[in-house]
Amino acid sequence: MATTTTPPPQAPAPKTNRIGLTVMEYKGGKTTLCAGCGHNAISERIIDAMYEMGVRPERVIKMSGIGCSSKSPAYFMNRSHSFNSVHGRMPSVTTGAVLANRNLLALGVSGDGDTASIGVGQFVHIMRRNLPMIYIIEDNGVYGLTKGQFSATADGRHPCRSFILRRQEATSGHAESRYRSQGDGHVGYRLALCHLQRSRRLHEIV
Amino acid sequence: MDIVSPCVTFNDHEGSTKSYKYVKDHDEPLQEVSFVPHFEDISVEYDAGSTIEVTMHDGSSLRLRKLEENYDPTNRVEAIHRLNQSHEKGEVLTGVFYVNTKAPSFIDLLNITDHPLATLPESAVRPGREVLDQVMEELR
Repeated sequence: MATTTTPPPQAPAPKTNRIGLTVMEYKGGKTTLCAGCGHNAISERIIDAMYEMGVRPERVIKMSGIGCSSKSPAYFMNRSHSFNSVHGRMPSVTTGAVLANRNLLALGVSGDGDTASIGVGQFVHIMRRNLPMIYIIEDNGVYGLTKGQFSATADGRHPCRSFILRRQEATSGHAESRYRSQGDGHVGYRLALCHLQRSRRLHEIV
Repeated sequence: MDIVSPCVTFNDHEGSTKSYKYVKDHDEPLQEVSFVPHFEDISVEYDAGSTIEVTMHDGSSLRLRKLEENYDPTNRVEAIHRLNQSHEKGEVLTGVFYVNTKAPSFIDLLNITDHPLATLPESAVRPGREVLDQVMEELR
C-alpha cells in the first residue's frame, strides 16, 4: 500500500532589516564580563539599535579605551572595524579616524575611569569640537577591571564594598578577621584608605 | 550618552548609588524620548504644547515629551542647574539634558573632503612647487 509522507514544515525565513541583514549579523563574540554586568545590556541594546536602524556594519568603527567598558566592543558587531586604544585616549584616536574618513560612523565606548579620570582632558575637547560620533560612557562608579576602586563618578555618600564586607566580619565576631572596624567610614579619604588598606596591607598602621 | 551600568562584582551593594536598586528607586526621567530616523515617516501622537521636536543635522528627529514642567533641553544654563539640583536631591536624572543642533560639527568646521584621505591621489595631497610659491606670494 502506498504511503504518503508529509514534508516537514519549513522553518520561517529569519527576519531581516531594511538592508536585508538578520540580527545575528550584528552580534559579536561571547562576553567575558561578569554575569549580570550592565555593560552586557548596553551591548545588546547597541545590537538592537544598529539592526533596527539598518546600519551597514562595515560602515561602523568601534573605538574604545581601557577598562571593562572598553572590552565590550568585542561583544557586538563583529563585522565592524574596531580599535582598542590606550587609557583615556579614545577621543583623539577617534578624531583622527573620522577626519581620515568622514563616511564612517564612529561609535566610541568608554567608561567612567577612561572618560572622567585619566581621559577627562580629551573628553572636554571632543565635546568642544563637536566631533560627529556616538560617545557612550558605561558608568558604574568603579574601576572594575582593576578590582573595584572608586572612580571619579562615585559620590562620597556610599561606602565601598570592601568596607561593607569588613564591617560584616567585625560585627560577626569572626576570630580570623584581619581588619579593625573603621566606624562609619563613609566618605572621601577614609574610603580611599580602606581600598589602600586592602591592596597595600597597611591596616597595621591604622 | 552617560549610561549608569551597575558593576555586579564591585558596586551593586546596599548603599551604592550606582546599583540596580538605587537607580530604579531614584530614577527621575525628564522626558519620554522617541527618535524618528530620516528614512521613515512615523506619525506619533503627542499632546500639543508639551512636546519638543528637535530636528538633527541628518534630518532625523528627536521627539521629547516633557515629563517635567518648564524643562527646556535647548537651554544650556537650565540644563546645568537641573543637573546640580538632581545631584543634591540624590536623583538619577535620565533623558536628554541638552541638545544644540546649530553648532557646526568638527568635520564641517575644518571643511574636510568627502573622500577618505587614503584614496586621494598624490596630486591632491602633495601640491607642486608653484602652489607653495603662490601661497608665499599671498603672504607677502
